[in-house]
Amino acid sequence: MGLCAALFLSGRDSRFRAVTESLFMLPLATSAVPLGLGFILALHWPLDLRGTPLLVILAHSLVGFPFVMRVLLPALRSVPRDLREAATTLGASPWTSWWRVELPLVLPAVGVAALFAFTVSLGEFGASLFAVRPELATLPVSIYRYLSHPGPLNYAKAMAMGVWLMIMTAGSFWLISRLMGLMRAGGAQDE
Amino acid sequence: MRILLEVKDLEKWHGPLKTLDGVSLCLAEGEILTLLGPSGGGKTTLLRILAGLENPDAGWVRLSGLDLGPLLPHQRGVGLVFQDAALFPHLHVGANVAFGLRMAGMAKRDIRDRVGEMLDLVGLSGMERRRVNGLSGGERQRVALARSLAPSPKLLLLDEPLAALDRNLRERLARDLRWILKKRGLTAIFVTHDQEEAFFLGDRIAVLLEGRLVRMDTPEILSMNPGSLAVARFLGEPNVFSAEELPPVLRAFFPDLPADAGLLIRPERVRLLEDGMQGQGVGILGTEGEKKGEKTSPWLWARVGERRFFGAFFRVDLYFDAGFTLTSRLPVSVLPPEQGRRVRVFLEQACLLH
Repeated sequence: MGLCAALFLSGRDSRFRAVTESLFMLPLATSAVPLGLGFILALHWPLDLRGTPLLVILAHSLVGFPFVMRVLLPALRSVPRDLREAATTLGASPWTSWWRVELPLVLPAVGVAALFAFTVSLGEFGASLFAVRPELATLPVSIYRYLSHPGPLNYAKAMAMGVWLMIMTAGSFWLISRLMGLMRAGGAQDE
Repeated sequence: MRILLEVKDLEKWHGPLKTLDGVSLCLAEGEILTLLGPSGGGKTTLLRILAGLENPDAGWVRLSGLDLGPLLPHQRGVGLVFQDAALFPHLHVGANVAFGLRMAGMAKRDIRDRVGEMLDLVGLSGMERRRVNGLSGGERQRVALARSLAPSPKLLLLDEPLAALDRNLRERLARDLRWILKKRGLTAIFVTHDQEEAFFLGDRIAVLLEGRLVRMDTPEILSMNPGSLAVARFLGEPNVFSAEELPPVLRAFFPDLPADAGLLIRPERVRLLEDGMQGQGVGILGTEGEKKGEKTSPWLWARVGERRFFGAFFRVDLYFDAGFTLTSRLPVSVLPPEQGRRVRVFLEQACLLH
């Protein structure tokens, strides 16, 4: 979704872009708690999505959205116009030239963006608290639950989950930094 | 000769600026045209319109009789070589050259053969697997050329492909380029702001000044007679005078010069005779095309100014007593007179400009 928005934005110019760009950054400005609450309030009609896992996904996408945008926009803009034009004069339709030329060049950035979204989503708590159902919870929410029901077993479970959370976050950040290195190297060699 | 490309009355506005102003031209099959003009003269815009990357505001373009207007760039069969090569950095050399062939849906084995053939042609045999980032500037342009040639475009456009290279390399690549284009019988338009390049590469030269096509002719004719003041000045000719600027002493030689015309005195047609030296200066005075017959031409006194050595010739500034300056071009075989010497100057020939 972030990719689509970034694509949309990278194509436009001037004032209009500045406005939409800041509009898309809004989720970052509001606290996640009203965001989750807002989802519950807004999405009961015409489609009742409350309590479905879809709601969790939607909420997380919205929270991760600005990060994805921030990573992808500069990457897309840094692809020289010449390359796209060269591809079209060689007989590539606009879609093919995007698929064969631009996408491979921004691929590391897409990876970084996805991982960013993943990490943000992992640690997301505020919006999830509202969105999740009892039997299906995100990691931070279940940690919170276990901690709020005292007992040695629950405490240990919470700790174990905390360790998992740390490992996954650390892992994705390691991957992000690797990919960032790749981006700086000017893109990987194909085939 | 068959006409391949027809361009008629092209106009293009960039905001309030008219970058192309009624450009029309015709190109025969197998002809190389160089578009010469200062930066901002509309050369690149014209090229981009031909490639379909920009749309003209008026006028039309036809390729082998087919109107290109409604066709998107990838449907035109027009190749374009960019100034900075614009190679795809994520593909190696072979895949770059193969790109257009893959787009055309050629079979894998045919592609491999064709890529090999193209790399042979540009002098980079066996470099298929090389990384694009490791190539030198000249090699990059060769790859770009091979990439554009591979799908056999009907028309090849080159946008200052040699501008970023250093002089030696530029000359060699220009020579190879002309040889390759001629060998393939390709019709090409080559944009440049470098005169030497334009004169060397083109079968014909089109001069674009401020969006107008002011002159289109073969290099020989163009250099012999630039035709207009603006072109002569753009070509960097030193002794160019409009009718008002023409010093009265010179004016006297051309009593029938129209008020709106100009005069070009070619520096190699300015002859010097040192004071005290015996000899008769024989010159033909008069405008080109209406030679007034050989006679002992009138001469003027001048003082020798700065002398500059250009390897193949000397350039000598001459200060005339009447208060104007001419530049003379002298062969290296004769040592030019020293600075400050008084010399007699003969003008052998002048060109009329409009």
